[in-house]
Amino acid sequence: MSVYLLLRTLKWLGMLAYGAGLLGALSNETPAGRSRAVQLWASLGFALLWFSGWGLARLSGLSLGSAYLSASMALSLLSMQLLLWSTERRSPELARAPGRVWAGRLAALLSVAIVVLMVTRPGARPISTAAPAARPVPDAAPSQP
Amino acid sequence: MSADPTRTPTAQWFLFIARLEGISVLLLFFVAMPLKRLAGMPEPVAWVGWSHGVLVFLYLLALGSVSRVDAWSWGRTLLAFVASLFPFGTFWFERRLRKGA
Repeated sequence: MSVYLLLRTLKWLGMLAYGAGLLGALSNETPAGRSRAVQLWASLGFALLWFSGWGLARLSGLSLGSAYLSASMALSLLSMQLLLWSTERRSPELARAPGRVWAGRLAALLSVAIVVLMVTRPGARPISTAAPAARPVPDAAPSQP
Repeated sequence: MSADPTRTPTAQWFLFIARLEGISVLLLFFVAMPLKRLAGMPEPVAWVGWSHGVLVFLYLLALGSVSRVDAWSWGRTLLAFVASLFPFGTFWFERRLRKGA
């Protein structure tokens, strides 16, 4: 199996793990189960997605500064943080607070946005053109009157 | 809150990630970097370095979570963060935590 295929497989496994963590966080009956889903599955998925995503970008010659990759990474971090926060068990009352439930839903929405970005790939650019292009030299200095 | 700060589920999850992060630092400093400097092989630094970076993000997320859930003091949280910057730091922090400090 080539490195590229291995990374693609890891990315799919990462997506499945993150999705499982997300579903578990939103639908599990008990606060302990919700928390465990995020800590076990979502964090595993997060690590796999970031590792394989970087590897695939590197093998494909894509810059991490590409708009869609930078945006996906930022949204992914935010989604993971919201997911963690929504399932934290500081007290039974807090675990059921409406704000926490909405944080979990927002995390799911962000994950959907990441998938859309990954499919449409706006602003993709290769590593070789990642550096800002040199400014064009003006043709001639304006003549003195 | 439990008397032993390492017994809660969130703390155990945090310590698991801390161990992985600690191993990645050691691989980076003592395997990948010597390979780059002494054997002229830069590729392992890129792969191990990125893996370490991902684990640092997870470590920080887990640290934030455990400090909120288990009501860690600012001092302990800051110490856990500083420990992650040095080789063997997270192992030292875990040992210190198990001793109840």
